[in-house]
Amino acid sequence: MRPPLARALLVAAALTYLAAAFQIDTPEDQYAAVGPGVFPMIIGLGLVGCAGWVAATDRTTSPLDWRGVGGAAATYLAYLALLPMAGFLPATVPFVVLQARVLGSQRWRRDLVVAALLATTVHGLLTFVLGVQLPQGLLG
Amino acid sequence: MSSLSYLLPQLGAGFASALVPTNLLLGAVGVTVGTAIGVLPGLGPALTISLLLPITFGMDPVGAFILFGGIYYGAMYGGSTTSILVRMPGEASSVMTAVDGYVMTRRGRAGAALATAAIGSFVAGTFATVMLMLLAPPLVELSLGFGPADYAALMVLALTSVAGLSGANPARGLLAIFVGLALGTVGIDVQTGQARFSMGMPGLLGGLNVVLVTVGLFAVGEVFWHAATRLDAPTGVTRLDGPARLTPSEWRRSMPAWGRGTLIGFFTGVLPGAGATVASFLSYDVERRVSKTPEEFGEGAIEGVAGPEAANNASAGGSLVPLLALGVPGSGTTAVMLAAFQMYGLQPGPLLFSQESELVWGLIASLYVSNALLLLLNLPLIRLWVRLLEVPPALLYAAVLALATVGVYTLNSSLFDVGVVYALGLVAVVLRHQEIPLAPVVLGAVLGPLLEQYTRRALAIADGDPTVFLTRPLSAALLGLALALVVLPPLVRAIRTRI
Repeated sequence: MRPPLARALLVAAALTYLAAAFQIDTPEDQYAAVGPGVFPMIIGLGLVGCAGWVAATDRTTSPLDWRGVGGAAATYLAYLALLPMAGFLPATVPFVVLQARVLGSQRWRRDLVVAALLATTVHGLLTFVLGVQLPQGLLG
Repeated sequence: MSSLSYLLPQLGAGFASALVPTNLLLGAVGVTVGTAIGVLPGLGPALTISLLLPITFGMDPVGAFILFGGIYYGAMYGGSTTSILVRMPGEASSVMTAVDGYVMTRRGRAGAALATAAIGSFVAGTFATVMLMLLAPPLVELSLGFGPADYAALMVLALTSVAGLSGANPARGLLAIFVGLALGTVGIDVQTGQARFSMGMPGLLGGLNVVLVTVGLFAVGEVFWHAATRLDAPTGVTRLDGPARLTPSEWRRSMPAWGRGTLIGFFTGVLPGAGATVASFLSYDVERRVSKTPEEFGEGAIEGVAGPEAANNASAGGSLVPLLALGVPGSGTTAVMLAAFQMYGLQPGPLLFSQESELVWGLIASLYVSNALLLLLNLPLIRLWVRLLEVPPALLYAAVLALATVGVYTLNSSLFDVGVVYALGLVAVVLRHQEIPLAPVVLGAVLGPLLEQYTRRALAIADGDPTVFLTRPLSAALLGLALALVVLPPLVRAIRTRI
């Protein structure tokens, strides 16, 4: 993303928040000395003012590798989708290996061992010591 | 009542019950489990203690509280470890530790940063325990005099103190605060029941949990940032260089910071609300202002680690004051501890000190014991923690994402929460790209809902008259101080350049 575009996005997001803040009404059956929309409106004005101020002060930032972020985010999304279906252990091990690869790791065998150790330890600590129910998966 | 001749025998009896071998073992288990969960982003002491409550039901209360105390302090310390080593605070109260702690790590001084955090936590925990003993009754009276307007003014003071963190351009710090405040307005308005900014998603009606905001912006955001910048960035992690202990000059610089952090932490902890987080932010700000070399802050100043770490630990002691003396919990963890008290049929409050003195003093002594155990266990472990840095960054970051997912999932067993954290991670990339600091965002999200409630309550009591904030001496003084923090530094700079 080019820096001017990012700054424009920042201002647009602030304006969207402010517009939404103006649409908050006090429910008819409620009384409030200060309504639920007042605070968001003040924050919205502050957001727009500061975002405009930041956008106006010219500073060039280096471009980001959005493809890298996209790869990491897509792997993470796949993990989220797999968790409820496969369960914690079967989803986490391949996720850690794949995510490490997306982030630049070349040694998948070592990553696999670390991922398996990590997932089993966390699973053991949470399930047997703390009694937390982790996603079980369809087979669980 | 608070004379030493009365206190010492009571404390002695407390130590006698805390130092029984079984209780020592429970303390060691608590400290170890606490440190381990502190390292997991998202999984904090409040959640762990509440998960352990059913298990401890059959135990002797003193033993159970020793276990809880160990978890409380251990989790705080574990949070600082990930802040310092990989710039990923597990909870809001270790956000400030990451600022200078991580720069120290990149310079090969991870050992010193971890040591100043561990020793500072011990010193702060010790003095906070002493202050808890001596000051509980008078402090309770003082904090009862705080009205809604005074609380609102205190929050404004805390927020303005971090606006200066953004360096040369105050617009970026202010924008960060407003982003945080905006995140805090998501969810149902507690006064009127009106849904705000929930975009029709039921998962957002309850608001954005501060843990989600911290883990999303820092842990997930850090991984995405690594993915976005790795083309031109170095590996990002440096191995240990030099001794894993403090040098004489680092001792000299750390000691006053521990002292100031302890005082700030304890007194902030007494006030209900966001004790440990506000304490660590205020302490960092104070350190920067009193320092002769404020330009070093953000570049690896050891005071920037020593102060906030002492402060967040001391606030744990402070937050026990209203719990024990009034039965009013001031933080998430003490709220769970209140539930634990009730599980044992005990009602904290003014009578607890006289009716259950053995338990109260046992608890105070056990806090001290778990604090000492924490130092004993962790100082030798620093070298082991630092070896974590030898894990290649790509693998480490992948593992952190998995840990953050589990930590966030366990909060509410909700995959929706995990999705929120992921979205916040992307927001963090955009903010960092624009050089907007992330720490004030967290503080804004923590304090926003409290500031709004106290402001509205104060206005409701005053029939909507906004001068209520200026007519109460305490709130007027706090607001004046906040204004001075904003106005004075540029004024002083302007005068200096003219001379």
